[in-house]
Amino acid sequence: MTLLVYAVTRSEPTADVASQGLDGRPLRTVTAPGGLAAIVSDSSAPPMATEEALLCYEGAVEAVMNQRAVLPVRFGTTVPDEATIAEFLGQRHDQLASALQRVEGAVEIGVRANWPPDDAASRPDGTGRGTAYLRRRLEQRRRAQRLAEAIDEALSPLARDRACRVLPRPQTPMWGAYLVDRDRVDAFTSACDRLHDAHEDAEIVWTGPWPPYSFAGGEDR
Amino acid sequence: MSPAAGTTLQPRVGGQRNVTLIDLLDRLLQGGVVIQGQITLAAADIDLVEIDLRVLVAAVQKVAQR
Repeated sequence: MTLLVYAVTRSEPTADVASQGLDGRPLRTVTAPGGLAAIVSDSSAPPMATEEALLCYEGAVEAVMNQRAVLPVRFGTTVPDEATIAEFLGQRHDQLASALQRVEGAVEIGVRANWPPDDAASRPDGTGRGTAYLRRRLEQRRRAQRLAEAIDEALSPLARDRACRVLPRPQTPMWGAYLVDRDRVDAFTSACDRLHDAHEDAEIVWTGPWPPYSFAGGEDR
Repeated sequence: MSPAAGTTLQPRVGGQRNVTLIDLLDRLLQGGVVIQGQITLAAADIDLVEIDLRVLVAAVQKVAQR
């Protein structure tokens, strides 16, 4: 029997989480010296990345998030026993504690711009020779950069922190995660809706509130 | 929308559930605290209707390589 790890939090007396983990298993809290804790459930096998499992995992992390500051753990993380996760919490204590402080009272809002599928200019079609193709690719990237800057200029004043990528995928000129104070979420999403209305050549959508997946420590994002 | 939405994932963008699922994959498989060497996933068997398969495959491969 291994443990599936959902999230890192501070250990607090009101630690019971009213939600189930994967396979209907109860969530429980493993505390470590130093004041950190991990939310885990028993797990007999590595999880399958099914839609159902992903939604269940997300629901468990959201249940914790609704009670206290939380750092989500990457899906699929299993450890052999409680001692292993307690040791990890001890070794990384300072980094995790400061990350928890950074996300306290805030949620993550996802913002993504999409070019419509029929937008030929956004789709280098691979035809044509060298320089013409490269010129189209370059123009596509510049166009994405301009859009990303316009979006970020409008949104970053309303956010505590952000992580943005320009043109991560061919039809996605901008992908952003914004860390937003809970009491500014409505103002932030209204600004997103206004951006969507103001840009005819791209669809600008927001999702969330999410647990702060993109602000959990900065690993390879 | 209230920040304290329920514990189940609601469609968050005008019912465009595929948008939400892509963002879910982006976050759960590429975000979050990484405990090095501890991520194991069984083979993915996800409903891929309306999902960009390349994104998922790339994400799962990235996880599997750790």
